[in-house]
Order: sequence, then structure tokens, then C-alpha cells
Amino acid sequence: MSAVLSQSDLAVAALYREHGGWLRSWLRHKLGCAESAADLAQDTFCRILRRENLEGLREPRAYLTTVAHGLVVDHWRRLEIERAYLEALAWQPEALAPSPEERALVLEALLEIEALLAALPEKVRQAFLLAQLDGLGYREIGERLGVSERMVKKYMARAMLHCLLAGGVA
Amino acid sequence: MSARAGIQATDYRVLQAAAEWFAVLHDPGVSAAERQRWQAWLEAREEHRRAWQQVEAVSRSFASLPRAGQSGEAARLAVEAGSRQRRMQRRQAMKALVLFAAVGGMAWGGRRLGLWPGETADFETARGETREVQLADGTRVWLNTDSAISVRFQAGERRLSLLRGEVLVETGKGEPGVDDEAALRPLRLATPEGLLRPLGTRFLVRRDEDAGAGESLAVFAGAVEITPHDQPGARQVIAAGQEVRYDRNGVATPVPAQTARQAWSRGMLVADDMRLGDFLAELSRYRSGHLGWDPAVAELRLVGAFPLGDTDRILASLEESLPLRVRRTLPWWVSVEPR
Repeated sequence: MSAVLSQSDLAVAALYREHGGWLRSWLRHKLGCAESAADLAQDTFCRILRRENLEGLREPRAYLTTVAHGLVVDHWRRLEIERAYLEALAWQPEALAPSPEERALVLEALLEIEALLAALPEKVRQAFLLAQLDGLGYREIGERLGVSERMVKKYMARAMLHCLLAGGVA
Repeated sequence: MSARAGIQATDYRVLQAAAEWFAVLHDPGVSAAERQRWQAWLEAREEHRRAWQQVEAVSRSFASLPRAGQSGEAARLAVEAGSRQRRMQRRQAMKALVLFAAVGGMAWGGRRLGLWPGETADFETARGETREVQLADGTRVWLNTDSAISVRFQAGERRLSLLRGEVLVETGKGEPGVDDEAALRPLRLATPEGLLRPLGTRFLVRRDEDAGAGESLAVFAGAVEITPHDQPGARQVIAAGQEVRYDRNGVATPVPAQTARQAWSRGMLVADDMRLGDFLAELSRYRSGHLGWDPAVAELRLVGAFPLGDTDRILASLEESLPLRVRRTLPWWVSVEPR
């Protein structure tokens, strides 16, 4: 193998060797599922690989759990979004239900949308979603949120500006 | 994502104008005059057109989601659930910090216990009633008489709590209308005495009414791990076909499970060579008021399957088949005596 490993790659490899098993069991304890734990442990090291140098890391396990904890939180949110989506779909006639492939694509998009809009105030986000996803008009949105149509229009502009500044949905 | 880094002041104002035009045009009630003004704005400068292309790119990413019927609503509800989760996680993180500061690691011990005082029931049955509930993940739960459970489907786990009485649980997967994603999350059943971790299974857990009497677990398929609250080290896996008593301090030796124990979930009380005293004790769980019996009849043996829908009829049929009589001093005071 001729690939040249950088100093920091070697540091990650050492980290993996020494603490990989420990991290997996820490994650298994958090998630209660060995399979997800293995996946998230993998993701944790992938994320660390993309970061700067690890030399002189004093508390490797504290560092690992900090990174892993963020992934656990994402994982739970992902499951929650999936759960809510499938639950909502369960209420509609089968003919309208998307196929498993469509569902998987939609879920990916929903995760991105959620992350994109997370920083917006609640009503702004709700107004934007009601317009973009439910296809409601401003009057109806205003009635639902208890604000004027003019305010809904402001919310829409604000949410769109937010998306534009974030570079849009990938 | 590259847009953010290099935004100039003018770009920002153009993006702002584009976002405002978007808000004007998105309303179904937009007037022709406004459309014309937007057209004029768009054609005025190249950078307006570029900004507008970005607006369209954002809109497209939403439009690509199925909007027909209620799918759009489903999508929105999912996004909102995600945001709620995010807020909750943030709050929990804050709370955890505060608690850690105050009491060190104690918060986690409490969390693992999972039973908060005053937890409210999501499903419950009155005395004499049994009920079948199917949860979103396909798990089926039958509640026996005078029982209550709460259900918390959280991101990390599905948690049921037995608040009182008896439940039969059948973990499910791959049924129509079932949330398979949820079914992948670990299921836990917390009881006042211990924490049960079912491993793909059908099992029954029963809490006896007298304080200190403990609980019993019977496993009919798969396996269930019991962790007594005060002795987590005494954790034990109970396999299918076994039945065991346990409390917060430990787990007794398993004995063979009686399959007849789950008959109530089909509305039956099954006695397979059962002591009449035990049978009547069972029966009294489904009745309000007093049901007593003379020790002289307690040792009589009984075989049969009795529909639980009408417990008075069960008593009448006992009278027909066994040397006893049922005396009703008052409508709610019934005694079984030798004949």
C-alpha cells in the first residue's frame, strides 16, 4: 500500500485502536442497539478524520463522547422525524401513500429542511412550512397562526432570506 | 453552502429584495400589477436574475416533496416533530448541565429508573374490563382488568410503564400500517419493581395488588431480561416457556410458564386442574365488590374455560358443576360455600 497517511490520520487510527471498543459500548448503552452503536461509532471517527490535528489530546474519551453525543442527538432527531412522518402517512388512504423509495427520498429532504429552518422563530418556520408543504394561502395561514396576512408575508420573506443566506437546501 | 462566506452588502440587499418578491408572488392572491412590478425588478439587473434563480432553487427543493393529498401535511408534521425534538434536546442538555452542577451524576440514576411519581396512564381498564391496544410500532398490548400503562415513544427508545395490574405484550414488526422505524428502537417496560427488556417476544407481566407481593413475568416467545431496580446486578434473562417472580431486590428461580395465563387476552379465564381458591382469587380481580369463599371449598379442583364477559354466569356454572353454592348477601357481597 503506497498511500501516505498523514500524522493526524495516524493519530485517529491510534485513537480508534485504543478507544474504539469503549466508544461502541458507550454508544450501545446510550442507544440500546448494537447495530446503531456500531454505525455511530464509525461516523464519529469519520467526523474526527475531517478535523484538525489530534496531537496532544489529553482526554481522548471525553473528546470522543462529545463528538459521539452530537451524533446520537442527530440520530434521535432523525428517528423522530421518520416516526412522525410515517405516523402522519398512516392516516391517509393507501392510494396516496408514497412508495418506500419515495419515502426514503422525502425523509432525506425533510431532515435537511428541518436543519435548514431550525434557527428560525417558531411562527416563521410554521408559516413557511404551511405555505411550502401544505400549499396553504396566506389568509389561511394567518388564521391558523393567529396573525395578519401582512405578517404572514413578512414571515415568508424572512424564511426565504434565511434559506438564501444558508445556500438553500442541498 | 458556499453562498454564505462571500456575501457582500449589496448581495445581501438583493437577496433581501428577492425574498420579499418571493413572499409577494407566493400568495395565490397576487395581483397582475404586482407581477408586472416584479418582472420589471427582475429584468433591471443581472444580479436580480441570479438572486431569483436561488429563490427558485429553494422553492424547487420544497416542491419536489409530494404535496398531493395529505403527504404535504405529513411532511410538515415530520419537520415540526424534528424541531420539537431539537428544542427538547436543547432543554434536556441545559437541564442536565444544571443538575450536574447541583447534584453531580444523580440525574442519570433517576433517569434510568424511568418511573416518575405521578406518571399518568395512557391506557387503562376498569375492573372487569380487558382491552387490546395496538401501538404505532405494531406492538400489541392487552390490558387485563384494572390495569394501566403509559407509553412514551421517544427518539432513543420505546418505553412502556406498567402503572398497575397486568399486561400481555407482543412485540410486532412488519404488519400493515406499522411504523417499522419505531419498531427498530429498543423497547423497555418499566414496572415499579424492575425494568424489562424484551427481545422479540410475547410476554406477560403482572403486578400483584398487595404491596410487597412483587411481580411475575411469564415469557411465551423470545426472551425478556429483568433488571430489578435496587439490584441491577441481579439482572436475568428469562427465556420462552419460563415464568418467574421478582421484585426490586431480585429474581426468583424460573418455573415452567402456564400458557393458560394469557387466556384473558382472548376474554377467557382458563383453569387447567386449578385450585378453586386460586380460581376465585383470579375471578375476583374482574369483579367489583367482595367475593369470598369458605376454606372448605378452596381445595376443590377445576377444569374449564370460562368467558370473562359475565362473571356472574361463571359463578352460576360453578354452582352447577361443583358441590358448592353461591350466596349473595348483597348484590356486591358474594360468598362461595360448601353445599
